[in-house]
Amino acid sequence: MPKIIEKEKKAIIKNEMLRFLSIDGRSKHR
Amino acid sequence: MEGASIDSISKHLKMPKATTYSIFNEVVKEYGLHFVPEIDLEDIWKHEFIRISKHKSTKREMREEALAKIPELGVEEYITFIKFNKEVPNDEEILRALSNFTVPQFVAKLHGEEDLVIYEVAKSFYNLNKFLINFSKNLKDYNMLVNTSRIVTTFGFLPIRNELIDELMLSGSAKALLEGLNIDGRGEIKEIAKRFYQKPELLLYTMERLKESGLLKRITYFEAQPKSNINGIIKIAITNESDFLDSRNKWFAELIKIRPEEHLKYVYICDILNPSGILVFVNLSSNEEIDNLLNNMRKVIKGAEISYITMTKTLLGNLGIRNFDMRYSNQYKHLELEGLVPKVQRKEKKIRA
Repeated sequence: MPKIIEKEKKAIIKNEMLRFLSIDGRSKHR
Repeated sequence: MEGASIDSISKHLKMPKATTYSIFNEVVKEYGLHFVPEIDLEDIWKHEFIRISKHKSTKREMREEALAKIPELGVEEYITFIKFNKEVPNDEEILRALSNFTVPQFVAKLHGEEDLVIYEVAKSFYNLNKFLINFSKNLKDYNMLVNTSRIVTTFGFLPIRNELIDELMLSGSAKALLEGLNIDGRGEIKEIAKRFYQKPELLLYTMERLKESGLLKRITYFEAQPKSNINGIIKIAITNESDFLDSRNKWFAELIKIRPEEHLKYVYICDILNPSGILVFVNLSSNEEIDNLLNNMRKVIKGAEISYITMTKTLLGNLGIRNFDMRYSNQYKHLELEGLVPKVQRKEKKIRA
């Protein structure tokens, strides 16, 4: 995969992770 | 909701756990994510009420104690703008004037029609007033104009300080948990228990209870190293109530349906009474973006004057998250009732003594 696409894909993953963490950022029972 | 364990994040993103873990660490470091509890400030009075009325054996006892405490139940949110008429005090002077008060949660310097914004949470108007009087006394060499308004509805949130949580009339375990989570929202329960001299089992039970009742809305985060430091406040001051109310719902519905990316720029929105209208705290990636945002707003919102104030420096506290999911706002619930947006499943609130 060309590096630029990899970078874009990673940015999308990061954004989705941020959104997920903002909704409930804590793992249960720790 | 299961919460964001590495396991559940990896399932959600459909990625291997090891990759998820390394990207998680990268994201936390890159943005300086600081996990904090989002507390339902509007519901605090109910929890305090249950606490002070519990274990009261006689009517007399209940009456005397409750009457003495009821006026202080719960908290109210305020926003204050300050304009200095001549010289503006330096950062150290402002910070010194703020110190020892639990009322201010967020303070930032502004450039434009106002010089300072303070987000306050106080147990009463009396407490807020006491803070404002002392603040202006502490800066008595400066000539200033203070404009305070009660906040009515909010969208998004601003983190609150542990000094304030400590003043709430909640149980020792509830305060320990909330304060511990405020230090590190992903921190281990046994660490919080150790720090606040509590039993881990009790804190776990307290967490379940506070989540069930909705006082602890969720653990979210703020960015200590945000993508961009271009922050500002958009003031929407109503000039014609009926035109404004008609366009207001349209604006929210458009934000959700047509421009879902735009609301990520909105850090915090609140309704204020004086001047009647809305304040929108925004975080932008470039200065050009503000013109686009204002143009979009002016196209949809009618019956209001829209202006922008630049936030130049945060002096106290932090702006909330930049990735707020609008479906969790009261405004969304309102649009849901009107059938303007899709329905979202929510948990019922339960309050146990």
